[in-house]
Order: sequence, then structure tokens, then C-alpha cells
Amino acid sequence: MNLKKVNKLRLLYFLTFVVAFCSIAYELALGQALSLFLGNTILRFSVTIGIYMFAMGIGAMLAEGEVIKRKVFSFVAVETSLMIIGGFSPIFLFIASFLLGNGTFFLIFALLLITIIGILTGFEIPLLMELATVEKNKKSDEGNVLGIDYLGAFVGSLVFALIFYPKFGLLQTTFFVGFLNCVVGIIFYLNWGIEKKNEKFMKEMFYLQSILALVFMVTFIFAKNLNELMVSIYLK
Amino acid sequence: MRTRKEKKQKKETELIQKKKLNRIYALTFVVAFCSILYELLLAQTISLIAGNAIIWYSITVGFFLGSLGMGAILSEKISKENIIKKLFVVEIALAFFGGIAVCLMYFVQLIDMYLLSHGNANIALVFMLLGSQFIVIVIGILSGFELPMLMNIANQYSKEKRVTNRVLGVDYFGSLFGAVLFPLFFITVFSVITVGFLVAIINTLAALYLIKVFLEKKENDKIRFVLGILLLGGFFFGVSKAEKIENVFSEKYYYYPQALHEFKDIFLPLKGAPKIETYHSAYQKIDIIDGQSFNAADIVMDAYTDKLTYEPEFPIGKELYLNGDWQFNSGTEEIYHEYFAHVPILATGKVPENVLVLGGGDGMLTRELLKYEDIKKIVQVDIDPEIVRLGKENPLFLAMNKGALSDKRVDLKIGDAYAFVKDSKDKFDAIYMDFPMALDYNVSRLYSREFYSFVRNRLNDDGFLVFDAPGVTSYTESTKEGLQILEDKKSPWKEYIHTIKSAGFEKIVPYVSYLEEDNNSARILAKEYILDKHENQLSDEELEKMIDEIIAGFVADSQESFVFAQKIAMEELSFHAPKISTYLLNEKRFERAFQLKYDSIDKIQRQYVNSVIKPTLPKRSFWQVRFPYYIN
Repeated sequence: MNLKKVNKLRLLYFLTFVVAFCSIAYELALGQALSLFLGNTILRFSVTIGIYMFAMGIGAMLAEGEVIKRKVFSFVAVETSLMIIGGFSPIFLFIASFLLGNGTFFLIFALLLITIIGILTGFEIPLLMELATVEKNKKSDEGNVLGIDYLGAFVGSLVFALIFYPKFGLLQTTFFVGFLNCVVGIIFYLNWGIEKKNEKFMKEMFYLQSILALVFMVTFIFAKNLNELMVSIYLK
Repeated sequence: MRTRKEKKQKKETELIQKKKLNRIYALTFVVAFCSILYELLLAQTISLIAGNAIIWYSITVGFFLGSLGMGAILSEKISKENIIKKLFVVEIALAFFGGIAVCLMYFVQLIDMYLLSHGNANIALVFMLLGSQFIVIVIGILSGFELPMLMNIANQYSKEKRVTNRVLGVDYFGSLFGAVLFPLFFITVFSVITVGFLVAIINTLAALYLIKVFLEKKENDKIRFVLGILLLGGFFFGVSKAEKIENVFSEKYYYYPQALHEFKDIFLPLKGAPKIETYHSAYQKIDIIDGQSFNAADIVMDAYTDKLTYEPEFPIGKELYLNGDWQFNSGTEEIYHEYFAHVPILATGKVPENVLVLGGGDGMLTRELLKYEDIKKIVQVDIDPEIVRLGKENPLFLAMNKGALSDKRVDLKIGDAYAFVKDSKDKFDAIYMDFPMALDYNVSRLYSREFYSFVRNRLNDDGFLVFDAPGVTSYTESTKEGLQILEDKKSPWKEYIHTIKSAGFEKIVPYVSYLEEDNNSARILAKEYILDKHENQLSDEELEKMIDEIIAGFVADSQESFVFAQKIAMEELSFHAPKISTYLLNEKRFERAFQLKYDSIDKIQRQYVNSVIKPTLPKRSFWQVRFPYYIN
């Protein structure tokens, strides 16, 4: 029993790491995409990072009461939304740019996208802290969760700039990250989701995540053609 | 009665608790603000020093975040007793190291350069990595302690989960504030050294506030106060002397390697060096220095150009550096600017009426273009208001660009060239792009397929585009068979050429400023120089060899590659009589400029195409540390 708890705690640390990795990658990809559409990279990046962190702050503050109480449910909901919105975010931007032009409406849409991803990310740490506290028999575990979260961000920012962006490009990167996010969701379901109530919701989310994982894998493989398509839309 | 009194008392303690909690939130905001500023400052400084911004920025931000994690984990191992005092120690240490971090980074750079100049390139790179990241790790770990400690302090006043989350939330807000202010305010106004001191001042004040508000009265905190005040004094002194400190480091950098002859030179200020003019903008650090170094150009340049005969007042020996990267030398700039401006016009035989210049805020390319009366209008777009201001106001720049930027034919716009060509509806006969080398994704966009496509849309059907190809090295084979582009793993040549092809330009022709080696007056000047320097007798053979070396060095150094591209392929390029007089460019040199051997580009190779969606520039193999000289 005890051993199982320890292992689950370790697994939770692992999930924290991956989740943080995904979040910073989404953020960097969005900043890059926004400067692609609107120019002026320094300003776009500052605004993206700024709004993102602000939204994370709001997310962290909103994560109380019912949200924390129903932590397993909340975490599954947050992750599922993140993989859909984050994984396809550059595609959303391309479509929005196609439909709305590059005026104020596009900017509002882009900032909204960043805010949503930021708020969802903000939910993660308090939820993970709470989950870790349960695994640690009610002893608080803030430092460790925070630390691992930072480590995930560390690896994420390195891998994004040095490997993902130059090697995969913008679209393929977010597909890959979305896929990783799905893996987190599936692992979480298998270890925390099954015995809980809301069984129907959990099952549905699990199926959805599995399908998404497949979609991300396929888009990742065919990203080259997708790149061409997006560039031609962008240059139209 | 009693219950009412109790109630009142309870309410009062609650009120005090709430007040204390609010103060913790405020404190969290400030220290988070400081932490993110340290992080960005370190990343900025290392990018400035190292050159390849993406790699070093990522490494630094990465290591910082990782160290934050280490700090947070380590903080779990610290007992919660006396936590206020412990946090004070953390904050004071952070202020101290954060304040001097930029200076420490500069010392790392100097030691790195010393190692390099003594032939230890690999050791130098390893030292650069370890030295710079050690500083990052120290500051990162200290910052990592903060948040868990603040959460603990907050939990002393309330055990509610809400409170922890609020501390976390406020921490994010502080980070937001710092992340926005850094690029938009701090680096646009101050040097990195000053920013370091300023943040350290804020940090020290936060530490003093911490013990003032949260430490029990009975505890003796005099020593802490004295420590804090001393630190504050030191940093204020630093702010007042920041410009001087920066200049000391700059001199070492620019007057290297003479300035770093012995190891102790690293720590001693350089004596008698000419003053360096430094300006800061949101985009770059602008340095104007007196080039003192031995330069083959100083000896033989006069043999190739009439410039000083006609313009004896033209400044000589001034060099412009952007972010420490060499841009031009005032004594040889016409090689670059004449070839850049005139070769396309001589080759097509048609002077464009409407010209777009992107970048080139120094105004010298514009000066060349304004020589044509047929050019009716020049629209120029540069992103950096500071370099444009210098181009318009600085006496040295004015002497060089002849006030070109204030000419009534020039419509000068401050803005992002990418946004301009994307959104503008105007059409031009010629577009000149004068950008620095792509060392980060911000500049890489300006060499992308998307950008070139937008530029193509801005061209009239018979229009042309020309840009210089920074980082491309051309060289003469010893057999003198002709000029070839050097394609090593650092050269972005293939990237440039396949990218421009992918944007749909029909005709793409590279050319290079390629001066002749058999120049008699140059040989005479070189001979005079050598005989002047050498007192002992030289054999004819030795003398000839030395002359050859000087001239070959000059010709190699003055090679700049350009890419000329036409939207629609027109008739063959050939020499047309110039409509203006040039100092340097003539028919013979024009013919030589096109003697470049390169692989033809019938088929676009996708793996080289630089796109914003999938960038190939800057090349990742470019793991060097920035150098004062433009070494090819």
C-alpha cells in the first residue's frame, strides 16, 4: 500500500513535468505565431508572455473551492481543453487570420486564445499540489511540485528553441506537444480516473483523448503538406 | 459583555492577519518582479556577449527555470523556524549577486576572449558555458527559494488553501509586470549594467521591508539594517558610474587583443584608449569606435578609390558596431555601399524611380541612391528610432551620409519592415534590403520565404530586389581560377539562395565586391609601408611576398556578397554606362563582380528554405562566441 502511494506520487511528479513542458511550448509557439502575423517580435513576445502569466495568475487564484475539491474531475477537464486549444492553436490563428484579416478582431482573438491557455495552465499547479498532498497522506508538497514544474519549463524552453522549432517548425511542434498532453491525460485516467465517480464523463474524456492522440499523430506525420497549405493560405 | 469584547478582539486579530497577508502579497509581487528581471537581464547579457541569441537565450532561460526548480525543491529541506530571517538572507544574497551579475558576465567574456586569443578555442567555449551558467544557476536557485518561503510565511497567518494560491497568483502578476517592462522600458532606456543595479536596489528595499514589517520588535535586527543600507549605497554608486563601468568593458572588447595581452589585463582598466560612443535602443547596443587595429585597408585603400581626393573631410577609421557585431569602417564603407547601390542599376541600365530601402538607418546606402536625379522618391523603413536619430543628428553620421535621411525625396518611416511589406499597397521599381545578419528568429524573418514573397508583391513587374548576404564568405582560389562561395557549415549561402527562389523570383544573380590584386599604385603604397616599418634589409623576394600578402588580405577582407533578384527575368545583365560618377566602381570591377562560381539553382531544395513556419536560419551549427573583429 505504502509502496503504491510512493509510486503514484512519482508518477504525479512525472505528469507535472510533462504538463509544464507542454505549457511553455504552447506559449512559445503562440508568441512566435503572433509575431509572424503581426510583426514586431519583441513587443509580441512580451505581450504574449505577459498575458500568459497574467492568465496563469488568474487560473491559480480561481483554483479553489469546488474546483479543488473535485480535483480529479477538474484536472481531466483542464487537460482535455488544453490539448484541443493548445495543440491546434497555430491552426486556429491561421484560420482566424484568413477569416478576420490582421486587424483588431484578429488581435482580440489571438489574445483570447493566449488567455484561455494561460488560465487553463494556471489551474494545473494548484490541482497537482492538491493531488500530491493526497498521495503524501495530507502532508503538503508545494516545493516539490513547484520545483518539478519549473524543471519541466526548463526542458521545454530549451527543447522548443533548440530542437522543436528549427527541426519541426511551428505546426508540427504543437501537434507533438498536443500528443504529449494526450499521453498525460491517458496516464492520469488509468491511475486516478477509474475508481472515481463521474464515471461516464471520465470514460468519454478518455475516449476523446485517445482519438485526439491519434489525430495529433497523423497530423504530425503529414505536417509537411500542412505546412505548405498554411504558407499558401498565409501568403494568399 | 465579555463575549462582545472577545468578538471584537477576534475581529481585530483577523484584521491584523489580513493586513499582514496583504503585505506578503505585495512582497511576493515585488520579488517576483525582480526575479524575472534578473532572468531576462542574464539572458540579454549573454546574448549580447555570445552572438547567437537563440541558443544562448534558450540555454539561459532554461538553466534559470531549472535552477528555480532546484531552489524550490531545496527549500523543502529547510526548517520553517526563523523563516523571515532566512528569507532576508536569500533576498540580500539575491540583490548582491543579481546586482553584480552583469559585470561578472563581462568578466566571463573577457576571460573567454583571453583564452581564445591564446589558442584555446574549445576551453574558451566550455568556460563561457560553465562560467555564464554558473552565475545563472546561483541566481536561479536563490530565486527558487522565494516562492515556497513566502507561501510558508503566508500559511503562518492563515492555513487556508486559498492563501497559497493567491501567493502563487500574485507571483505570476509580478512576473507579468517584469516581463512586459523589461523589453518595453528597461532595455530601451538603460544599459544592462544599470538595469542590474536598479533591480538590485528594488530587491534590497524589499528585503528591508520584510524585516521591518514581519520581524518581532524584540529581535535585534540592527546588523541586517546596516547590511541592507550598505548594499543600497553601493548600488546607487554603481548606477551613477554605470556608463564608466560599461566603457571599461567595451574598451577591452574592441581593443582586443592588444587590450588582453596578459591575464592580469582582464582586471586592469585600459589606459589611453580612444573614447567609445555608446547608445542604447530597444533593438541594439550601438557603439562607434576608433579603429586602431592593423588593417590592410588603411594602407592600400587610397590606391583603389578617389574618395579622399574629392572629399578630404570624410571621416576615416571610425567603425560602427551593432550589439558588438562589426557593421562598417568609415574608411572602406564605399566598397560596400557603391557595390550595393549601383551594381544593380548599372546591370539593368535603368534608374528606378520609386525605391524602397529596408533597414540601412545609417543613411549611407540612401546617400548613394540620392546621387541619381532620376530617382524621384525613396521610402525607407527602419525599426530602430535610435539609429535613425543618430543618422539624422550625430555629426559623424552626418559627415558620412551627407544628411541623406533629411533629404526631401526621402520618406523615412520607423517600423518593422516585415509588417510594412506585408501591409503596404505601394509598388516600387527597386527594393534594397540592408539588414544585419540573422542571429535570432526576429531577424531571421527578414530572410524568409514569406518576407521575400511580400517584397515581391511590392515590386513592379520590371523591378528588382537586392540584398547583402551577411555571413557568406567568398574566396579566391590559389590557382586564381575565379571566385567561389565558401560553403562550410556556418555559411548561410544555400539558405539565402533557395529561400529567395522559393518566393517566386525568376532571375537570381549573386555578385560580390571583388577588387583586383594587380594594382600598381596599391603595390607602391604597400611597399612604402613595409620599408617604413622594417629597418633591416629585406630581399626582393621577401618584399614581394609581403606586398602580396597585404594586398591579398585587403581584397579578401573587402569581399561582400550580394544577391540580385528580378521578379521577371529581363534581358541579360551587362555593363551600362553609369549616369553618376563613382569613386570606386568601374567597368572592369563591375565585370569582376559577376565572376562568382556557385551551384545553379534550377530546383528548389526545400530543406534549405527559411520559412517563418519552419526556420532554417540562423544555422544551429553556429556555436561561436561573439568577436570584435569581423573574422572570416
